[in-house]
Amino acid sequence: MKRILRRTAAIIASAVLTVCTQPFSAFAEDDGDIKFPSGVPVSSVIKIQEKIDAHPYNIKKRDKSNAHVELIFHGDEILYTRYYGCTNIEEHTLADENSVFEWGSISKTFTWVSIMQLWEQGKIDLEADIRTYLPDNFFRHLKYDDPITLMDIMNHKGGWCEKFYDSTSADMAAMPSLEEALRNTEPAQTYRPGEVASYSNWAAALAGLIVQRVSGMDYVEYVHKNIFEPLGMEHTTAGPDFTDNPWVREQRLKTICYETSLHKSYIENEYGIIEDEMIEEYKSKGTCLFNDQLYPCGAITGTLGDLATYAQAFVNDDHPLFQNAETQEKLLSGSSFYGNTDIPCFSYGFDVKEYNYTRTFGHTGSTFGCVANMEFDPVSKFGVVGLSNCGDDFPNSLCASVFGRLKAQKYIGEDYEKADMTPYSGYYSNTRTHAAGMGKFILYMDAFSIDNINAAKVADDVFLEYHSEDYYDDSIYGIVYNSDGTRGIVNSCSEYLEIKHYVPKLCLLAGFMLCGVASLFILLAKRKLNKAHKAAPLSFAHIITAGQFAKIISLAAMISIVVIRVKGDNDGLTKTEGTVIGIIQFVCLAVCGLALIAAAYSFIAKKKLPYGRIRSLSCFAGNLITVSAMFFFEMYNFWCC
Amino acid sequence: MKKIIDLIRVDLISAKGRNKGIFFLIFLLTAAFVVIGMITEALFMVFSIIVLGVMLVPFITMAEKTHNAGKIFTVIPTDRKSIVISRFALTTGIYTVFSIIIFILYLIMEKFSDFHTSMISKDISNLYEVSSGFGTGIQMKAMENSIFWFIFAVTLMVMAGQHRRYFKNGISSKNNNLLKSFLKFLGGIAIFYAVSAGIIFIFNIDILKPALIVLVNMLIALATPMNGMLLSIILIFIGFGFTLYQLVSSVVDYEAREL
Repeated sequence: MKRILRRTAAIIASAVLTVCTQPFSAFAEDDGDIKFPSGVPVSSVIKIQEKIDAHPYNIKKRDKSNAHVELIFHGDEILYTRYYGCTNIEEHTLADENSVFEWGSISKTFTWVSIMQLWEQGKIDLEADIRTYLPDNFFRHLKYDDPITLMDIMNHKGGWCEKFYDSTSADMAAMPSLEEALRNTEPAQTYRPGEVASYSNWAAALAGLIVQRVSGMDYVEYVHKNIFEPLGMEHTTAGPDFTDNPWVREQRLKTICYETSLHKSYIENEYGIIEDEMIEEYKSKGTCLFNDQLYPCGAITGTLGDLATYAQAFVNDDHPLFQNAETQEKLLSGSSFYGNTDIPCFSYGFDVKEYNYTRTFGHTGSTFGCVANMEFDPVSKFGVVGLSNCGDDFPNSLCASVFGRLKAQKYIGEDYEKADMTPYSGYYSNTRTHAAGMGKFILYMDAFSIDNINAAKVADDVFLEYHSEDYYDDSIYGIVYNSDGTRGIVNSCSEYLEIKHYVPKLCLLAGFMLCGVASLFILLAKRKLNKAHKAAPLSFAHIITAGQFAKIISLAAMISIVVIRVKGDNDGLTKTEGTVIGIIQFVCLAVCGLALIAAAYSFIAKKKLPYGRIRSLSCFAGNLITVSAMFFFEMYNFWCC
Repeated sequence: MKKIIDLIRVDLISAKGRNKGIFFLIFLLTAAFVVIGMITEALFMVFSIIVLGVMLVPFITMAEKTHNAGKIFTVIPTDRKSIVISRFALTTGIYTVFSIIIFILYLIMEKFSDFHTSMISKDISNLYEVSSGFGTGIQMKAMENSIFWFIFAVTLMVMAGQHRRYFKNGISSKNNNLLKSFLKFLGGIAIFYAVSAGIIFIFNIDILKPALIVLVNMLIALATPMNGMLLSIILIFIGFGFTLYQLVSSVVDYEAREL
């Protein structure tokens, strides 16, 4: 009996030991329980997601929420798909595999892939000046003679800031060609090519034109033939009006876009107790359809399944989009890096995101109505894609489960110290903001200081901004030095450029605004004095009064730029609006210039008036500030912005 | 200049004879907010400048009614413009000096803010810390400084408005006493909020949103450098600019008024 017991015990012990000493991967594969790069088992993430989906609250809210669709894949395999919410809340149309959404800036990656395809065919040189591939005298607003390469454009370093003018067409019949649209909306080149990263939709569309000219095919046709067809993406369009795929057009017309607002509401719970609850309210924005003249930068529209198919191509060892595996490897090897490290911040047009234990590539997208996300890890071959018809509901909720997080403790060790940021002290502004033309003042309203941030050093000129709260992920940033002596802070394709002498420049802008407001009160006081017959006008009083009116009008014209942009969802002014505002500013500048001379004459003239000297001096100062600000902030410049 | 200084002295002499109770009421209310600020949150001290500012103008002008001191200006050799300037200079001067003292006190108390039982700052600081980082330039300290000088400027404007009403309409026992002035100020704020809410409700907030964005962006940009002092200087400039405008208007109104 004892022998039997001993043998049984030995068998059990050996079995336990055998199982426990097996390599983890073998154990995992046997059970199908592989882990995400985050370290969380796939099965547990999926179980949790299924529990969340099955929760009564979510079931109840499902047909009252905006559509939020996400998908996790591993290589060719789809691990989890979640279709939640409605493409039309009013009609309770639930999102499903046939729902289509705009992919926004993910469309740019189609241009970058096309460029790389043409590069591997030897048709394009990434280091050649792009003027080689464009019509003669294509550019009208270049500030620098330096060559601009396709590498510069892929890294958003062409030197252009964001376009100022609207590039959408209400009527497809009036839609110009891509070349014409690019010429019409050419922004000012504000940075030296190859130096400052400045995210540019216009430059991405320009790359689309290069694809068109080099391949000899229409851009939409090229994308269909070289990307959609090889991957079998049948539910996606690339054209601005969806005419290249009527099914997608039909489906897209069914998708309504929303914006959310939160408000507090009091409800009675099951025990009869009144509780407060945050209620999410959805406001319909309609279909939010738009015809983008610069369509290569953001017109691709399709289903979640097709977006997954596209993302899967980048983790596929058979490299279905390229002839050679090396091209795909190059595409995802990084094209610009943080400081002198090998940590890529951007990779041939693809965003690179750093996590504790992995690094992902991809892109995000946003249009007037939809938001999109694509993220994949070419090493582990896991990926997440997501789409939504609500700009406030970014579809990346599964990314943390799959890829993990970026926290300083894990990334650089527990005993990190707060870095001294004094050498980088100053005011910075996003390079994407307008830095030339009549929108230049916006740059000075967006600047910020980095003096109070918490940062830990990763390497020389590379640091991690950390948050004490666990909820927030940390971010990696690198410092770059430009030839003009300015510093930049880089995170992925975003760069924040130091503004030299920021405070005096901001004072000039504030002075301009104050002069406008003060002029209003001066005019009111003048009216009062005139009515009481107490006015003692300065020399050339009419010109000085006209100058005060001009200051108010100029301030109103400046504010109207922001008002028009906000009303139009930041898509820019139309050419007509820009021209009218520019001409108004020109007239105001001329009148203020005359008032400046009149005030100077008044100051010098020996006309005895009550407070004459102080009045003419303040008038002179006000006009001088206004004229200087209008020149410095190029408020009249409507042709190159 | 001497004439104006003499007129200020006349105002001070008339005010000296005023009801001591009212003087102590102003003093107590002002001191109470200073003490509350010292023991809790330093920013609460700003309420003391509101109390002083709003009550100061009626306190001085009502002296005329109590002692019939208004008639003194008909016998002393002066002009109406000087009376207006002296009155503006007196109240604005007292208010500005007091505000500067309170601001210095506030800065000192801020240094020892860790010893305070924090009621507002810590929560807002925590909230700020959560959302801090690149792109969020404004700091808590900058916000507090800007709030202080914003309130200073608004109160200065209210004071200038009180002066103008007085010089335009004269003094009336029915509509000009301290409590009424204070209640009017509170009522004004309530009406402002009610009208704003009405506009938002009737016309939909979207109409106001773009204009608000310009204003808020500009305010944040101005509040970011130098711990909010740039915005503070601008606010002070606006406050004094508006006071100057009211001064000019008051001179015209007072000279046109039948006494």
